[in-house]
Amino acid sequence: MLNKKKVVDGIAIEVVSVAVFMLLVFITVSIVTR
Amino acid sequence: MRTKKKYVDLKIISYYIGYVVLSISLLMLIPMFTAMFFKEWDVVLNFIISSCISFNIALILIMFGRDKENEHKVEWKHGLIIAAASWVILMILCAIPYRLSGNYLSFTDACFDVMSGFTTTGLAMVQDLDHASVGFNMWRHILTFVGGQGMVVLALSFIVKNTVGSYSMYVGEGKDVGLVPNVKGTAKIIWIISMIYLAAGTLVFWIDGMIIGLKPVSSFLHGLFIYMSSWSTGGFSPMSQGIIYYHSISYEIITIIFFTIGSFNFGLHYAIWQGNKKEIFENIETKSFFITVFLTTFFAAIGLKKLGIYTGGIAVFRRVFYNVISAHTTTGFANVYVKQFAKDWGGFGVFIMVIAMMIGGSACSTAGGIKGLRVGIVAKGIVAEIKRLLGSERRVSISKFHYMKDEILTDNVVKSSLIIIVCYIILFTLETGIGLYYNYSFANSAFEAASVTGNVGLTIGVTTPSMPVVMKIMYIIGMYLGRLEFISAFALMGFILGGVKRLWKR
Repeated sequence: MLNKKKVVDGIAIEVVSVAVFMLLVFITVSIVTR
Repeated sequence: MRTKKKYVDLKIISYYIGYVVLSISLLMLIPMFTAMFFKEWDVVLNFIISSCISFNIALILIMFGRDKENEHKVEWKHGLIIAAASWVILMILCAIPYRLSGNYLSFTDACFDVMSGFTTTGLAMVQDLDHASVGFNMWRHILTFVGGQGMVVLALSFIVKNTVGSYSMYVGEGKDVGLVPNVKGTAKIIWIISMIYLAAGTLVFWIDGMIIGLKPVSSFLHGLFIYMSSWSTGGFSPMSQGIIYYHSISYEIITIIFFTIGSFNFGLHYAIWQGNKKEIFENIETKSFFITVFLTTFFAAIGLKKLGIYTGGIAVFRRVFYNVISAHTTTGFANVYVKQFAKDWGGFGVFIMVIAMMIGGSACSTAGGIKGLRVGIVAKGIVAEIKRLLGSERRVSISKFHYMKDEILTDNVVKSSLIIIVCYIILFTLETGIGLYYNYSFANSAFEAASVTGNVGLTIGVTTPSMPVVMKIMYIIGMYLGRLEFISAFALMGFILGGVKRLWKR
């Protein structure tokens, strides 16, 4: 039903997506509040 | 024969609720064994008493409803009523160990905390939390963790062999995405996803906890509890100061990652874990979520910059983004003190937080609120309507949206989203009104009402054990309706009113 490699890849994609989004927000708020 | 037929509905409902109660009586064994491990014998006794009471009630309900014929007669209405009624009965039973712990001033406060946990809200009435037992804390966090996945379907999927009509119970708990064709399989996948993340998340928090100075055992317990709260977007914490207690940016960043992922649709997790990596970027819900989180953070940052409270990118990111995304995912962790929202954030800051709390996370997730799916659908509907008005009369345009698969945006889809949004707004207005009635300011009443309606858990200082009992009850109802998304609760009300009407006619 669930492949171990795909699960690990899936978790990595979710974590990286959120982390990239956080970075984007950080850059934006840093520029806006400078 | 007529008498037998008359009680058929009641028997079916009683039978399945009995099994849900049975599963909760078994769940109470986890905090009981935890308390045993830490030699908290008073707590062990509390859970033995509570589990026995629940077990006996479960047996009575099952015996009353037991009928081979009825097992196959579960209709749509039964499923909705079972889901809605189970939550009320479980609230009372699960409050027993709370009340016995001595950490609550009244049984109403204990019920409030249970409903807050089940609905993954996170508002608390608990007293002296910093000295509470491990067994008690385990129970608080288990309730919020299990509540996030949806108790009724999960309980029935694992205990009852034949759950005919279980899809209606699944919908009744505010979830509507079938990951596989049957609900039992869907419930199992939801559990597998949650347990894999539970192991990974607890490990990460455990390691980080030791890095920031907690002792290994304490770090593990804090990690487990904070993970359960993050994933379920619950907002409970083992310490009264909440996330401020840890005073760690790494701990805060890890919580952001897990509560954001926790607020994603279980269908999205499953699609990505099946190899459909693009789903996270194509799904209307994640698009809507990332856009609204970005906008609310952006405007809150501008608003607070004007007030000059936080200076520098890191301070703004840490204080503004953390609290806005915590509100938006309906988690309820806050890294500023309660009164700071009222005193420092100003009217505009509070307004942005109310908007974020109302929008909420994803459908079929652990999060509450209106949900990104509905916001996305209504936004698409508005664009489609404008295009239709501006376009040629002869031209027929079809709008689509991507939600696990490409779907056509019909008037019915927009209408059903709007109905739920209107229900949320009415509930929010009523909860704000009750705050105003008891002389809280408009900003405070609206903030707390959005937190209750959207199952968020952030507080501006209104929710305390000393608040009026009527407000406590109204907030319990608000959390309950917000979590179940109204329909099943309305079905339960209709069933009860129908019964009362029949009795009255006699």
